[in-house]
Amino acid sequence: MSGTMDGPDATPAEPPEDGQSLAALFALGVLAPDEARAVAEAAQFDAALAAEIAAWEARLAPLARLSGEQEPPVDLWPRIQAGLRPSPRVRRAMLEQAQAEARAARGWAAGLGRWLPWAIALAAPAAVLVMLRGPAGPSQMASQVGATRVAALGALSSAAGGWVAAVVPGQGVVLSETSAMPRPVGRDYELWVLAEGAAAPVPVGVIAPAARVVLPGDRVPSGRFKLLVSLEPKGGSPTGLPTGPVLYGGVVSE
Amino acid sequence: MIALVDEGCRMARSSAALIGAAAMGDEDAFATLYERHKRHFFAVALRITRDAALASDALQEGFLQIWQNAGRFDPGQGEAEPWMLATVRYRAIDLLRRRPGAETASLSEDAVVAEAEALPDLRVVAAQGGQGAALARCLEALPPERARLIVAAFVEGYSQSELAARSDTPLGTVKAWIRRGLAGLRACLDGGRG
Repeated sequence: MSGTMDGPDATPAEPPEDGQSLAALFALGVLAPDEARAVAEAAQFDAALAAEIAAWEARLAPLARLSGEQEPPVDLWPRIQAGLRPSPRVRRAMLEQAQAEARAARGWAAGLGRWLPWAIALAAPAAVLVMLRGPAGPSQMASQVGATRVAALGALSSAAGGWVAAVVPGQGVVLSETSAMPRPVGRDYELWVLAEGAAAPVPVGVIAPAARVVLPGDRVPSGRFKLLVSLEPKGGSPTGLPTGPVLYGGVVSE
Repeated sequence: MIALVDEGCRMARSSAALIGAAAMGDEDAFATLYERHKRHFFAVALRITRDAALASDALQEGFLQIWQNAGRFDPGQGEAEPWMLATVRYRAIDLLRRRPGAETASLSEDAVVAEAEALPDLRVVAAQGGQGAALARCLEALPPERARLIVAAFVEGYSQSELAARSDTPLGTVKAWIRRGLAGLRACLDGGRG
């Protein structure tokens, strides 16, 4: 936390929120709705943030007894119950849908070889590139696509879109939005790579709207790693580490 | 007889165990959870929204969210009641803030009343023992204006702008007091001081 109990009260300075104070403000309920939603989504992926929020919820929960008790309307439980009824069936359907999507993704990844080199080549001259250092030509790339891996970044909130990352060993990563992403005014999404066992993510760069981001092959970690997207001040994190909530992420498996 | 025994067993189960059963699709376990917590949670939502219909919506949406997320509840990370309570509180606050004209309504209803009242009586908080007693003790150890803001934000669901207007205090000062109050609260609770 940035402040102390004994600091001067009249100072209105607002230092950037760290994870601890953000969790405290979230649990207290004083964040703006959009901020609160971003933190809730980030907590689904960021276990440390989730634990910090849970700790604050537990610390403050006894205050709720100041509100006493009140009988809710009798028709409320039937309304809730109506929302539960299809649950087992829906869960089975969701499982089946997930399995079908996994099968489709495998098929898509296999077919990706046909267009991925062109996607990367087309993205190269565009101003939307975050970082690009000499992508291989299509013929060279085509030899690599047999081992292309695909990872979904997101699935933290169905309403908030996400990205699909295609990873070509030795060549790089292409990141595409699955739908138009909400972009808070004055903020940017930034892409990070977190190698397995690494203590901190490495910044890749800011993701421009409707952009394909290409990460050079020599910066793609070998083996399993995570791709993360955080919400940062305009232009990206000033510190080299995420300063805002990590909203999207996915594991690129071996 | 068997049904009565079953019901007795269900009521005796911890809320964490009931959430675990709900995660497996056990509607009866979930109904027991609702019966156990509905009066408290509804009162919390009503205090925040100050509107019975909105409070009902918050309780409904909150419990549906609890049902959907029951599989994500981790007893190792915390107790069941704070987790469930937080879900309902967040729904109540979100519904309140998203209500059309929420900001203007909340400010005009009470005009700009300088709230000079003392910290609310925390005996009901302290009477819970354990964490409740520690929380009450640590709140009373904070500078009163910070403790009052934290309690008002949590119990009444006021935003920082509303708290600034209601106490006739600059917004930046309110934000600083809340942050420092929370930091002090954490230090006191985690350090056992206060």
